Amino acid sequence: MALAKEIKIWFLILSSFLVALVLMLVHLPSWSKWIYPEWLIVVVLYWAFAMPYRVNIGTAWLVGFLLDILYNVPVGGNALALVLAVYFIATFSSKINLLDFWKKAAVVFGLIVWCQLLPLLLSACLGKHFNFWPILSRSIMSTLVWLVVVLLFNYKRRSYFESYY
Amino acid sequence: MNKRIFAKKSFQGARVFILVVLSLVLFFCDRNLTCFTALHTNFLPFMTAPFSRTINWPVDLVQRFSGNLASRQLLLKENADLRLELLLANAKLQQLGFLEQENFQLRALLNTSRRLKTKFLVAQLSAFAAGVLDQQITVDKGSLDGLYVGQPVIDAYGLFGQVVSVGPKVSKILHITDAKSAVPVMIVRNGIQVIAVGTGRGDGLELINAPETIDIKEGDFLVTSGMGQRFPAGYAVGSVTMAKHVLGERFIKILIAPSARVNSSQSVLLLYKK
Repeated sequence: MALAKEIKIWFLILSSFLVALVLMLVHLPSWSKWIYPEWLIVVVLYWAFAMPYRVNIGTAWLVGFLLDILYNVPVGGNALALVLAVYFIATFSSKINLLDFWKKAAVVFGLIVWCQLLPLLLSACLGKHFNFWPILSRSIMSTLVWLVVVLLFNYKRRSYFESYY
Repeated sequence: MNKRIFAKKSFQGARVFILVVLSLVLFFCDRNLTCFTALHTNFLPFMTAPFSRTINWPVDLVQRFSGNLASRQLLLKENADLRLELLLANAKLQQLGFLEQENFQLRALLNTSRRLKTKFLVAQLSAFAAGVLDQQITVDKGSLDGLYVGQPVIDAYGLFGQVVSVGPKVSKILHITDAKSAVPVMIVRNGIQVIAVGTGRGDGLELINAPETIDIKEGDFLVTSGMGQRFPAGYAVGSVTMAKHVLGERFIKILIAPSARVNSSQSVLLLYKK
């Protein structure tokens, strides 16, 4: 029983990561960099809030490593940002969960901006130029995705793991 | 559930510390470690290509179908336009043949030799990964087609970029507007040679280290100069859109709009050294 539930949960988590990965690999025109959400980051942050014991800093590091490889940037930047973001969530989740919905969304927005900005700031140390505005617009889109996911999925998840709660 | 929170003794702080240090070490060693260079240039295009191809086949299929279903009028109009363009191009080509011969004779007189014929390969641009940092552009040809790192890429309008990593069946291209790209160029009007570096914003290039006294003005046309032997000479790079003296600066600020166009699903030409 417990094992079946565990398998169910991991199936859900892994399939959400897979869907996010697929969405990241879709071919898109170049203007999409202004609006395309950071699917993987959103998924990691969502699970870090929902199931902190399963999606922890180790998972965050692995996903960050994957992102670094996907974006073909020096390995470690995204990994570092995601580890620190998930650590932040793990440390302050009890306080963040007490905030009302929109304040929580603001925290998530800040974390998404952080996750995108830190790798670029690190790359700037290596002498790369970057443009801040796409980061802002993409973070807004990512937060919108997070809002939709929370509104739709939290309800679903409760019915999916009835016994879990 | 509550029991678990207290029962599980975790060393979260230590784990975070280790992962942070590991990330930073990896990040700052990435440039210097050869295994990572191999990862970025050889392994990744090879690894991600099958996935992205599988994922994107519905999109490609829709594109192919929409191409098949184009209306007759549209095709007729396009055909007429293309005929006109061909006529103009042929008219220009007549003159070019004469110029080429003259150039050849002049070069023979000057006792320098340069091959004018080059080998081309047509490739299709296939992807724009949605990265913020750099535009990653891939083409559907790889080392099996004889591509090599550093190969110049042009499109119908001008210099497009160069190949930076080669997989067996796909390769990555660095566009000339990327901040990592630098092209030796020549001003057609007066033959002055300068270096054009991408701005990294995806909108153009700028000339670096151009002195205040340089003879350049808006509308000047730039071609590759052939210096450095990476890009062959004579391919269009772009035209000057802004030449501004900034007070107190040592160099003049010059912006260039590239001639090559960037659209997804477009054909480019790969040039071969012979």
